[in-house]
Amino acid sequence: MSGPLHLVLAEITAGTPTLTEISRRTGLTLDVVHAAIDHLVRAGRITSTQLSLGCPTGGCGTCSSSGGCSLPAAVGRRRPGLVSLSLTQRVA
Amino acid sequence: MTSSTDLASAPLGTSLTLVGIDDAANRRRLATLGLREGATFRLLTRTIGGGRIVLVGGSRIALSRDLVHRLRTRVA
Amino acid sequence: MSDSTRVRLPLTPAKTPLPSAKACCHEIPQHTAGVDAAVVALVGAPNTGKSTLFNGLTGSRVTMGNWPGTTVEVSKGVWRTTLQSPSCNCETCTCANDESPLAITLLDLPGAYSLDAHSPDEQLTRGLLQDGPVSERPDLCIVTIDASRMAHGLYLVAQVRELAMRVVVAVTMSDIAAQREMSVDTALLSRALGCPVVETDPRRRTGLVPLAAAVRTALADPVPAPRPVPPTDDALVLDDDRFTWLSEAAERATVAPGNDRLTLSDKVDRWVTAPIAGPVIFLAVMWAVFQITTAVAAPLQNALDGFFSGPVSHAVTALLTLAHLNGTWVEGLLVNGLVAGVGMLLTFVPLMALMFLLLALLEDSGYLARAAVVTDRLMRTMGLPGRAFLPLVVGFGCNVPAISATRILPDARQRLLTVLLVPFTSCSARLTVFVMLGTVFFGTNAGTAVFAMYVASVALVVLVGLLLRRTLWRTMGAEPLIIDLPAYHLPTLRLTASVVWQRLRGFLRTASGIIVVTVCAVWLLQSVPTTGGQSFGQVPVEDSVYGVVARTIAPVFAPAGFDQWQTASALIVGFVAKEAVISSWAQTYATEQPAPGQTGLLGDHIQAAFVQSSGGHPLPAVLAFMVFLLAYTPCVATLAAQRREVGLKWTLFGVAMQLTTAWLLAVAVFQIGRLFW
Repeated sequence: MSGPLHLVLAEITAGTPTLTEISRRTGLTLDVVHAAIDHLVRAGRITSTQLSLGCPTGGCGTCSSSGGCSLPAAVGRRRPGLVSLSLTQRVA
Repeated sequence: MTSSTDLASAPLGTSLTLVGIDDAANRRRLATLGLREGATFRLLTRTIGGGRIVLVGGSRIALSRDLVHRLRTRVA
Repeated sequence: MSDSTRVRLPLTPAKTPLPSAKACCHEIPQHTAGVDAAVVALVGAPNTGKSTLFNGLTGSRVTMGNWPGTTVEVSKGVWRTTLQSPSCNCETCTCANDESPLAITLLDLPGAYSLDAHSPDEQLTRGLLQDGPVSERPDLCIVTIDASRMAHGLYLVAQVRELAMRVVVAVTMSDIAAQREMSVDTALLSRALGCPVVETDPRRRTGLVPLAAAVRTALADPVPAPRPVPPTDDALVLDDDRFTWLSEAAERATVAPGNDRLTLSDKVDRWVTAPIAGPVIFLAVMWAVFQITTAVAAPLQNALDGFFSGPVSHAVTALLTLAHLNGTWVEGLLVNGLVAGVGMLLTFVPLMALMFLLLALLEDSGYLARAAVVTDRLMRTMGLPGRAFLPLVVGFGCNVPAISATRILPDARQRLLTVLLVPFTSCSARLTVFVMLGTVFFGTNAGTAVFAMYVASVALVVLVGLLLRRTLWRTMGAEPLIIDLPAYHLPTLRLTASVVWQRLRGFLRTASGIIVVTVCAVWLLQSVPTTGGQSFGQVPVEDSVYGVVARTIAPVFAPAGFDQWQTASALIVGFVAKEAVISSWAQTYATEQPAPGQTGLLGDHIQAAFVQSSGGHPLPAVLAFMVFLLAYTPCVATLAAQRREVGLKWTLFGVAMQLTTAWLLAVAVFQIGRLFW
């Protein structure tokens, strides 16, 4: 069983740093990776913590994660910025 | 889950996942072109001599017939 | 607000009475899903234009958005449409004119990403769509999804499709997707999702009519079969199954700006690599290359030829007369040697430039990589990997770099085989001779004659390869072809021009050196008398060392129809370099007085020679000569390269093999050909 959710979870476990990289390594589209992470967060399997709030004063172009966060700001209400994703401990 | 088939019997046009490469000698060369296990790709065309053209990561790669039989895929 | 009322539903905890879509609307519950008085629920993730669509359909104003919290707001409205097709033109229409109005009760459920009840909004949606009895559920569900982020909306579609529920998907935000050069193929998406898909833009009120049509059709049809789910209780496995499904649907239906879009290149590739069309196109392209080359270059060549044999030679002679050197060996060397030889080389500049230009265009446009795919099978029959095509293609330019290019082959035996085959590829130096002979003997069919030599060249490579494989390398395996096909593009002028110039310069540099040295050597040999009473430089060519050697060898070529000593001597020179074949002819014939009725042009000399040596069958004889020229040792530089790569023993084996092949083929061509011409 290795559907998109498992693939994305495995990449997060492996510490793959950016969504673009997860997309590249899993062969899933960025849109699907985004949706999968949003779903996993909603389902409580991973937690997402915004590390820095808002964009740098120079705008999105100077953002250090502009390469990894290639979806425009219109996606969701999430602002571009560093986000830490961590697996949620589950009691079996 | 559909079981895996070799590339020769995979349908054209649909999205496929590469599940296995039975060719140790060419594994690295394929990987540098984006064809690694787990990668999704699409079969574009059958070529002369039973080869295929696959579309992976934006590049088109022609594979000859013998290689086509050594790649196991699954409909993604 | 006439058609719209707002109902405030208490948040329903799991065990309270389940919400009923129909009861909440104060409608009489209908167990059969008639088109009349149907209840349609509008669901979708937040910010997908769901409420805008609701407003557009009901014509009422409701507050957009959703309110997370303890109470959940649901808007209800009446969607007035007609049973009749809205596209029906009533003036000419013969259908029943009773445009029966259809009032659909439309519910705007709160925004929800899923039916997983992670939020109160989702709990309500889940309660209305899934947990209640079937009779209390809406008759149809419109799921709005954002075209620019389709995967986010499709999870809900996956879950709704698992219910026994009619589903119509409304794709919104196509304008935003279009700004990112993305679009959704609704037909493909519909097939992947198993439900109708309509593109709408509620803000611009477009796509509402097709949406109404889709809803009417769906309502009239029975409830479709739900999407099958894997028999498991593991939530993650279930979710993953939905993601697998939606990922495929999204990938299939998204026409993204990425490179995974099918391009014109792909359509072209379908033809140029196809089993029958591929080789036909390949041959047609190569034929066109040679036809264009010869047809365009021929007049330029004749003009240059006339220029060197006329004004330039006369000028040099005049200068020598002024210096009182006319009639001496200096005149012989300069006029008959260097001017004739270098002049002949320069006449090939337009031809080579054109040839290099066309090959550069093919290479730069991306076609050569496809040619490798087409020829791969051919390579394979010889036990060679597809990659071996590349040195062989290079060989059509020049054999020397082609021999070096065999290093890309990993297997030593494959390398050796390719090194032995490269000399059979017709290099550009041979092309000059072919073109000259083709023009002289075949006139307007010169291009076809030259093309035939190239086909013969390919056939030779294949046949000799097969023969060697059957005899010497029976156990050799083949490497599979893996080649990256670049997208076709228009070659850039600058790049093409620089490639042409580089290759032309390379050709001229090599050829001029070889030609000057050969011309001097030939002149020296022609000047050394073999009989007494003749002084150095004043001897007829026939009586020189050169003439005697050529005369000795010439009879070998009698069965092939070209045993004139001048022809034989050209072949001796050709062993050193093919570039020198014509200059050698020029040198030899220039010292002779033109026979009565002849113009003294080189072509006439050669034609006369072939007519004589072949006993009246010049065409088979000249073809035999061309085949011999094609198959025997290309030049000493190639031999040097071969020796470096595979050693002296194999190089000599190659020379013997080439000479044998060349002689046998030439004899066969002449003997068979003279039966017909």
